[in-house]
Amino acid sequence: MNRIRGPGQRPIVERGVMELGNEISLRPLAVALLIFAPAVLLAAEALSQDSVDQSRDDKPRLAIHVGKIITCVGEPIINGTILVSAGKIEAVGPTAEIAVPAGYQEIDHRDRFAMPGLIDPHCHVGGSSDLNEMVYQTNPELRNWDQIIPHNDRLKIGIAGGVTTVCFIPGSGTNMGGWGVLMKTGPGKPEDVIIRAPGVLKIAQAGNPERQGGEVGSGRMGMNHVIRQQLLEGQYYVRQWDLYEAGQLEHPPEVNLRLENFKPLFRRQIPILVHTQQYQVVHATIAILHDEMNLKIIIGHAEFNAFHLAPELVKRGIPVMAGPRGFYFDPEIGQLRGLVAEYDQRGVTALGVNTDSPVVPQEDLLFQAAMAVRYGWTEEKAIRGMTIEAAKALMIDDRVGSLEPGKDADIVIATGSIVDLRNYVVEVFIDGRSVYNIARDRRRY
Amino acid sequence: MITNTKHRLAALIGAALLVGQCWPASVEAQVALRGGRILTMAGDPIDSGVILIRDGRIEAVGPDLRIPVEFKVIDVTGKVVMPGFIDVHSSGGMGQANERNPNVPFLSVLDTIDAKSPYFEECRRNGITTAGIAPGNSTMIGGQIAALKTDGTFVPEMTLQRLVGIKISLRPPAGSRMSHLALLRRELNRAKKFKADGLVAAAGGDEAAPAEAESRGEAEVPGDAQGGEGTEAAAQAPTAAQQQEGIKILSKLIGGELLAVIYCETAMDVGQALMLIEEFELRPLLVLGTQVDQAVDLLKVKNYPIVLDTNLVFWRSQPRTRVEEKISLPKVFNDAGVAYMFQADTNPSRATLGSNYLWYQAATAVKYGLPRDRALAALTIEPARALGIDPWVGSIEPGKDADIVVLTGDPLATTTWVEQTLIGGRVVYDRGQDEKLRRLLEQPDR
Repeated sequence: MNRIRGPGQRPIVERGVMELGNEISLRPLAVALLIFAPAVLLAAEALSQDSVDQSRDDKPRLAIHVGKIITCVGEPIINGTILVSAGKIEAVGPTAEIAVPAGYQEIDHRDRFAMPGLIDPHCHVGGSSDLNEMVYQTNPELRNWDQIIPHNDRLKIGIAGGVTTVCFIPGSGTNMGGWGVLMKTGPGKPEDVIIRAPGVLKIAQAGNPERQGGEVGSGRMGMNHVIRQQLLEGQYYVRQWDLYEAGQLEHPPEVNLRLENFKPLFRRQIPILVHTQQYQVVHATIAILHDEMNLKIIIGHAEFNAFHLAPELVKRGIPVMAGPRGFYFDPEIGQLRGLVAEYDQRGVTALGVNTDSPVVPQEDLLFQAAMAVRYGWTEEKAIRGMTIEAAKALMIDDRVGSLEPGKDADIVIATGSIVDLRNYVVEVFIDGRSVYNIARDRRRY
Repeated sequence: MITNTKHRLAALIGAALLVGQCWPASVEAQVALRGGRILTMAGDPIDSGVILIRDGRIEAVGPDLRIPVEFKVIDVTGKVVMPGFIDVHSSGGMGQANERNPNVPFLSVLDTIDAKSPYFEECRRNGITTAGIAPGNSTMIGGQIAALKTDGTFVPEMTLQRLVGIKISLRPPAGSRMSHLALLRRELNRAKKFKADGLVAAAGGDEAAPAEAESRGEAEVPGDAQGGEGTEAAAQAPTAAQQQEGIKILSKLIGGELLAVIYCETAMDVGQALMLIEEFELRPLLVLGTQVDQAVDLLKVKNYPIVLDTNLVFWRSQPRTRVEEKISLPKVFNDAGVAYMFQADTNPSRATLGSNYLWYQAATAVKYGLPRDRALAALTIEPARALGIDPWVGSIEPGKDADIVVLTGDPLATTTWVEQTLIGGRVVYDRGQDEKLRRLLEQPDR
């Protein structure tokens, strides 16, 4: 999404005076706390207003009985039970095989479906809406967890659509908008909701970040050059640190806060979420960011005729998180093409959808998947695409994306498969806590 | 396709020495074209000849070649077979052809080439197998030109040569020719100085700043050049590092190591171009606008390769009398004995659709007196030489890439169709499979 600077935005996060130095990378949560003091207050306020069941402690112990559990690992379980404790899934299996320990609250959803919480890989509503700093073309010094607003109104409705995790990212107004954060949609303090910060780097290669006047980057030649130069600078910085840490440099390199977050990127611990949307642009994404720079990337948007590059994506195992445009009028054939189906038919399995919220409302992630199914994707793949495939692409599948013992207890209970739009979400758990229940909170979506 | 020049040379030598033995057999099928009239562009035509293609390269060509058992035979009896055409200068096939910044020698067209652009499809349909893709005419130093094969989905695999030259335009995008030329001279002088002493002169004056990137081992850590300057440097354009990179590339123009592709919009630009060529010892390829007929006498003296404007024949109105005069650029240049090549229009909305096609341009030139063999050479071997890619393409000779066009008849006749286009021995266009052409030509049901 480009240059969203909504009028009348509340100045929620005031950037406090920060001590700049090594400790930022070492103690991100402490720093986040420092920065987020106002946001935390707001979150706490949201929490109290939200009628979350206060009688439960922070880590409830639950036995959720469900008619059908879509685990997103292996076959669905008919008449199953999910045990939840300490915010994690303790066990999942057929009810007959799961012994409910004493002290576990039993929840009856025997006529409903359970599935992992949905993950939106491209979201702009996790905080204040000032998504673009438009002065510089590349902004690796910017990090958007300085501006998150946990459980804000849009995320709250997102939960009613089953969304429990979002990749909240800067906009595409510049070639490198900054670092995005992976966060839960539920209530809590920033350190409660943040899964990983930095979550992803945001890069945009065409269209929105075009510059005017005399600046290099009014066209794609220039924009790709600018991106490459910035990454080379980051690569060099990280290489110096790697050499130092391997004992090959005597003195530590000078700390450069502008480049610090490139460390996990060039160590391939986090991916780039790339705003890239048509054949030539996606081509440049693959050629520059993957082949030249050897970085983990996610093809965001992936629209228009870019699906013709599917074989190159399959060859390299690059995930595609398509949207928000779900279809493309192809003048070659004079017909609409369903984009996700086109990737699917060409063998892309690391495939999902996004909302680019608020471009498509946060709660309509399942609608994006339903439309993809209408154009030829399958329902099973759609459910995987919104959960485990998105988690893998974002490199958080150790935490979320499937219902397995040890993973976060982010569970969506619905009246059936949520890709069928006649069904609706009944209850949502995040980290083992019920954050939405239509009986308690009224149905929001 | 091997993209690195050195590798290509090695492969070429390898192919010449050990024909067919230096690649695994599975790389490409063996193909024989049999029965056509072969215009090799390297000697006399061969009637009913045979071309043997192994692993993407031409193994042999001749009138009475035995076709080994492993070759797949394509019968082209009655057809005319030529080396694939070469578009010597095109700004097609790109996402965006011009940067607004007028001085960007450090940028390459490879970062904006769109393999799925209709330009490449049209190339294959019209027998063009290699294109010199250049930045547009709207920037002073527009960037780096690359030579690409016209088939493929992934640009690195299409690339024949990453850097064949630098595009320079003498048409000022804004302002006067005085300031444009002053700026251009300044940049070329900086390049000259860099070539002489390895120092990058400051843009503003004569002070020399040390070439930091050189002393720091720029090849290893190119990104570092921007390092200390922080975000402020990123906001200015171009940055010091970019300028430095640009000057280094421009320095290869001095003395002619790299091709300078110079766009001259008017006759007066030609005079300026000739002075720049002399002053900076450039190796030029001159791309000319429509008004250059008045500079033909200047061009007659030097034998520089020339590309004519897409608009070959046009009317010129005398400003005072309003008398209209028909100008045929091919006739002017033929009469003066100046050789030239062609470019095709990449804008399909032009009223004169003929100028969209290289063969049409060549046919027009023949109409106005150019000998046929020179017209055909101007579509094949001449552009290959001009771009320095003739070791691999431009003629049908053993060792060269099997880039071949099969025509139904005379290459310059309107009734002739491209039957097949081969790149690297692979059929990349087949008229029988051309659904769009079929839809265009089919009779409606009645």
